[in-house]
Amino acid sequence: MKKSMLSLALIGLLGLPASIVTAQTYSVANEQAIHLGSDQATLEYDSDIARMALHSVANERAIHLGSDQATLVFDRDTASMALPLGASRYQVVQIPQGQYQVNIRADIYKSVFAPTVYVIDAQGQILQTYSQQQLSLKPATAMSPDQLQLTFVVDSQQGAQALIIATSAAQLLATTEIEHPARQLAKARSNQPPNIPNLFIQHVATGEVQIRLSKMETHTQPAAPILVTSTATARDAAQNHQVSLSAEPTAAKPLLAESEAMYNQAINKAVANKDHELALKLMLEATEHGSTSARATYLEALQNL
Amino acid sequence: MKILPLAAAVSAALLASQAMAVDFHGYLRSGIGASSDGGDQIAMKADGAGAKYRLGNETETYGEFKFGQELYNEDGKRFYLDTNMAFSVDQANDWESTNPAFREAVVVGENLIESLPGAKIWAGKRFYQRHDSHIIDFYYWNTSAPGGGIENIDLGGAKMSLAWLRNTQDTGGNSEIGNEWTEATSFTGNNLDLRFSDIQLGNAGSLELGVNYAKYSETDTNKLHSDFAQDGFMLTAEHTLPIMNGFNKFVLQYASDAMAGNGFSGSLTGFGNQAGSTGTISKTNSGNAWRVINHGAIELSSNIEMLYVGLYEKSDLDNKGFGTDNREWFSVGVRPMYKWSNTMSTLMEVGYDDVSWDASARIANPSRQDNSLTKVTLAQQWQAGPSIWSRPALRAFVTYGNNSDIEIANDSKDQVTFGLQMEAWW
Repeated sequence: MKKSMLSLALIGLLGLPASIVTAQTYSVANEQAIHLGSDQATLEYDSDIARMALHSVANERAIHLGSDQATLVFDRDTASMALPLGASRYQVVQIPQGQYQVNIRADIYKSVFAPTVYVIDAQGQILQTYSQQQLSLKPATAMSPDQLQLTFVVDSQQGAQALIIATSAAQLLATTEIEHPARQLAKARSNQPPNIPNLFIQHVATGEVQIRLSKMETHTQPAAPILVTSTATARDAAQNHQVSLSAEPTAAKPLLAESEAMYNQAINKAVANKDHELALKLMLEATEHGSTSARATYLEALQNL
Repeated sequence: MKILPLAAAVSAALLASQAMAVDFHGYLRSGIGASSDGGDQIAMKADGAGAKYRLGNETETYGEFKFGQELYNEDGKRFYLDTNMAFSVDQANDWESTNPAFREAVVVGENLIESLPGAKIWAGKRFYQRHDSHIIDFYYWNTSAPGGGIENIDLGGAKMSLAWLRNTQDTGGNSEIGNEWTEATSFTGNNLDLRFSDIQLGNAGSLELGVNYAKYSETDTNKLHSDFAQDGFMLTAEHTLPIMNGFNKFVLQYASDAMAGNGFSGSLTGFGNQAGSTGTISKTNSGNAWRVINHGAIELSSNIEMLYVGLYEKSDLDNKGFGTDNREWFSVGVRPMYKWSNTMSTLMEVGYDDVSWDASARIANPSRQDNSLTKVTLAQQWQAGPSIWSRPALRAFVTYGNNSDIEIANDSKDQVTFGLQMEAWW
């Protein structure tokens, strides 16, 4: 029974790696640009002062999301300050009690405000930073333009108090590569796309960002896994369905220490190679065969990516 | 502790579920229009031209609904099923019944042949690597049909595609075309399509070269009249240069015999029709036609984008006593777009078409007249994005047209139309 559930889950995952790879192809172009400005990413930064600033900011100016969704505007009237990844206009969003999935989207037109998010605790200490490398690109559809997207989870029980949304010095030097709209049109109409390069969209210091907080209900079983065939549906599903970590499968007998090490090595290698499909399969297979460390190895590898 | 939130995020993304994820793509245009003289909007086109300038000059509701699904994707091997149902109605009433056209039903398999990574094999009906000029809605290389083949073979320096496509042509039961004893209603044709694309020329853009060869398939009881060529070929060379955040395409095409004729596009061009009271056939299928096109889309400034086209086409088929459709068609036009914001723009489209008939074409149909059409459209548009390609778009337009020699409608060579239109693709 467990085996068939796992294989079903795997079938459900088949569509996903392609989307991850796509996102990474785009971010690779950006990473190079980031390195150019990376010396600025570690600018002189007095952590105590910043913490105080962040703390006061969090308490005074924080946006409380009434409807779980908001448009954050970064314009001439928006306050700015020195942040770890560079000075920027910023907005603060309060995190309500509980565990939330945060979705951040920035529409790409002629330019884009590339978001960096700092998760801070009640003391203004930065718990987590999400920046360019965590962004993914969602190609335009009939319903939305090209977008930079960022999805992560915050938990007030783990101390997360507020989000600071800003941009970074490195991001301002980088660009986002999108498929030329003439090519997008050709594909939508089954025409031969013109042989022309992608567009590089400038990152700017003013713009708009959409943010949505969705409360996560832990420990509810997801609906039966069904074939997911595209990036968009996987992402939508991730956004719209509350999903949880399932319990660790128990194995019939422990794995040989050597086999366990082999699995962990393979998982690390797959993650390093950004072959997420393989990594996940290895993790599931190792766990199924009794590995007690595969899951932790997998998550740690992802974390260190 | 840092791990847990990420773990939750990863698991949420990975364990996501969704019922039957079907990709939905398509195209749709519809609207309403009127003529300043009263009555419905009139689409204006030079008589004998292969296309017309389309902005504010389309009077039908046309749609394509594509439902596709990836059926398999593992280790880079991928199967994708695609369909396309299309329809066109007059947009005259609420209830307009239609027999939709089933234009695509195809399965494409990618990376299935180990020795040809990146290649796709396919079978079924499909739009096959169509090349068009959007501003005049003209598909100059379009061999879309039922068929099968292999695409995208990497030769190192070029991508090769080969396809076998079906062309069936009606004779209209004409015994002058079919065998002399029984009237053939149609002829099956086969089209072989060979293309070399993505030939990179460094800073000088890229090149695509293609050859189509098509032949009617006679049977013992269904033979072509000896005056009709049974086969023909078309050569295409297309140069694409990425310029000004857009592109310029320069195209040369030559077609022979059964593939030549007005508006040729890589398929068999059929047998023409019986023209006038003399009952002569205005197309003999032997001879040739050629065309040169320069078209593109460029960004002139951060607020101005433009589509443009220049085209010349000449058909030269043999008379053989039947008369011909031979003519020269010249066309030039631009569509600049000024963007007020990411969602609002003003567009203008100016187009000029000129058609000159050959003497042999007047033999086939004495009513034919040389004529040229000038068309100007001004449109205010709201669209979802800052590109000239952004859709959906809603537009309000006014169009003026003038034909040099032929009355367009209401005893007048001039016509003003206006209306509202939407256009979407996704």
